[in-house]
Amino acid sequence: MNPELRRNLWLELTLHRVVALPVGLVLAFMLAYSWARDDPNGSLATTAVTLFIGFALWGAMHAGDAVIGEVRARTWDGQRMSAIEPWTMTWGKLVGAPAFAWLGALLCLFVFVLFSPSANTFGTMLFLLSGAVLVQALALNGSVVAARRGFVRNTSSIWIIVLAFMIVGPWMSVLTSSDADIVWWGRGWKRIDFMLVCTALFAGWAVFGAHRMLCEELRVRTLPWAWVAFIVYVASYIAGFGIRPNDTLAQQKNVVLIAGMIVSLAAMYPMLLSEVGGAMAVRRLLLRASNKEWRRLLQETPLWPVTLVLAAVFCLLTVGLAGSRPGPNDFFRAIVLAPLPLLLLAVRDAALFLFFAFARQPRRAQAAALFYLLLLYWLVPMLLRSVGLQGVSDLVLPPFWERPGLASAVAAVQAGAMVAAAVWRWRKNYGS
Amino acid sequence: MSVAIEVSSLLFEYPGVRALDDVSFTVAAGSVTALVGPNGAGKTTLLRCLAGLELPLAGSIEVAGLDVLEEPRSVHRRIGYLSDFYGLYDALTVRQCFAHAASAHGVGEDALTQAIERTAERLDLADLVHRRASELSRGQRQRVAIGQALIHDPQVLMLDEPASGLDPEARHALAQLFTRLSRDGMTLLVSSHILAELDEYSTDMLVMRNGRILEAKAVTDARTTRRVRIEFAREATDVGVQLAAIAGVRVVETTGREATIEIEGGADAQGEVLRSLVMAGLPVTSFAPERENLHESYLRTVSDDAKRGRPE
Repeated sequence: MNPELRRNLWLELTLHRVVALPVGLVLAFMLAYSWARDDPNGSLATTAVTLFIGFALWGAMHAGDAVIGEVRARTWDGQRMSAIEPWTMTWGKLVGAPAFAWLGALLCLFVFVLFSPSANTFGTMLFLLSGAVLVQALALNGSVVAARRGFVRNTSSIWIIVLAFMIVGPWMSVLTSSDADIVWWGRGWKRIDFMLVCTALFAGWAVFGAHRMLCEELRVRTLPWAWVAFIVYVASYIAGFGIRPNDTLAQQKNVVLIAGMIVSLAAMYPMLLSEVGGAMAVRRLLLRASNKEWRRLLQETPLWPVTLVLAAVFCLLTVGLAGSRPGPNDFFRAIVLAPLPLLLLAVRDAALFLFFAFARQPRRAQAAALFYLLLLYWLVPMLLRSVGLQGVSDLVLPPFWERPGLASAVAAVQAGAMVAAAVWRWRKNYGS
Repeated sequence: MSVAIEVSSLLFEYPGVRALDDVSFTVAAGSVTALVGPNGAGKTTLLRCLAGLELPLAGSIEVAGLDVLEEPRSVHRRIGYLSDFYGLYDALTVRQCFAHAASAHGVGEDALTQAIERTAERLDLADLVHRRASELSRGQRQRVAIGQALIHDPQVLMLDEPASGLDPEARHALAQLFTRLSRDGMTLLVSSHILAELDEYSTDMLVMRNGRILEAKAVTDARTTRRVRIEFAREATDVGVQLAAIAGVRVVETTGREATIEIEGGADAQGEVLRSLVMAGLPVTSFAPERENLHESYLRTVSDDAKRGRPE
């Protein structure tokens, strides 16, 4: 038996809990039944779904505590020292840590299947299951990140679940906002089927992501292809909503490339602010490069530079294709000129982070970078505009939508200056 | 001599600090090596690198015949490691703690019970296997943690401050256990501040300071440094000259009826020197080899390093 799963089952499924939970649930369902005598089946099904969601979120809290709880208890080194393989560890934690919550959730699901008046009970059940796995896998990912960043307090798992909910919640609400069919990649799809497939696929990605994170924790070397594949997948997924039935192939390509660039840039920032890297990572990469250990270099490269390179590829393809064949749609024609300054600003922001990370005794490099990014993107431009200094404001936050040419020049100067500053600090503190 | 641990040109840095600086050494199979050095010398970082918990900047590490950086999961089946700041699953019983540790290190279900019982017996925990970890004393918890590290019978066992929290009796029992494990062929690498405790069972010593290995040597050699203290029945003239004339003898000091010398070679050489003294008509009443313990050996290594003027 999976040792990690067994350990969790020992901790989670005590005899008292296993007996008390069904009793509590039976009483809750009896209460729901007594309150709605006119539609008892509907009431039971609604109660079951509500309780299922509650159990799923509770389970997510346990999944969110799966790694940081071990760091707190100082048992994580022991786990890392074990011979347990990453997949075994992943599903051992994903199923085991919320095992008690899953027991409750599955009992609720059983009640839902028995009493649901819906025509698509099976589909709804699969959707609920996929959603629960998705949120819990995201929470497990969050737990690994929090452990690496040293956020291991008791309350950290609550923040993780809030973050997971903030990611999943809006997406779910968009998908469930109406009953109409969804148009995706120019074709109509039944909303419930679409939601089910999407949720299941994203749950699969989240589980795979947790596995890759645990690979890193367990010192199993991996190449970053999975991250690249995920970015391309998300870009294709989002692009699907922008592609209309009559779009030409060229228009479809434009949409995919723009989505790819936006997704890459959007993904770079969380990576930049959450990965453990900085001077030591750069030093290691330079050493690998000088020793021509290319495979190891790729294995040890943090994901944010990979994402930045991917964004650059999407950006150059977008600009290149747009230059030769602008689309008929005004919106796309406008934004296909904007990628260059966006990419340059991302380079500037990465260099800003490195500048702080290259301090001799770097402390809170990510927090410092985040603070200055808020100043550069929001506070300073707003202040300058509020006092009528629009021109100066454009030098801080270049107008990449309205004047992409000027914006590119300004962003290039900013990126160049910031890269030079980072290089200077590197040479000063780590050059020898 | 087969090698259990081979480290070559290991480099590890924290921002602004080189924690391990070109560290190279080997540890013989079946030896008990004391890893000693002051706080901040890099002992824990070295152990964590050997255990595959930290990724060094450069260098290679081979433990139990496997490359730690390439095959960390396989290496973990062959090694055990007790961290300085270990934790236990408080809600589990000692038996469950052992069962989890054994399974997690690849012990099959069929061998699980035997492994648990053997470990409990080794650590004198047989009466406590049904108690929860949270109900144990600090010393008992320490023994459970050591049991978890060795339950899978690793080829190499690495322990960071294993005796902290143990009373003198338990420390002595632990020393006996380490000696037994070593006799059974297990290689032990033990880091500790308490040199007197290491003295009881170590066969080799690895001295670290400022991220560097100052010295790697067999403690048995250090213990048998042939420094001999001689006492005479009466004050003899030219004792120093007569002693210095004997081949293989270096005179350290002579004071009246006493002399301290260093002899090159082993017990046979000592016997030869004693015979020469008697033959020369010197009234020898006492001929006592001085034993240098681990503490003295360590201090001498550190002092020699300072004299060589290496940067601190």
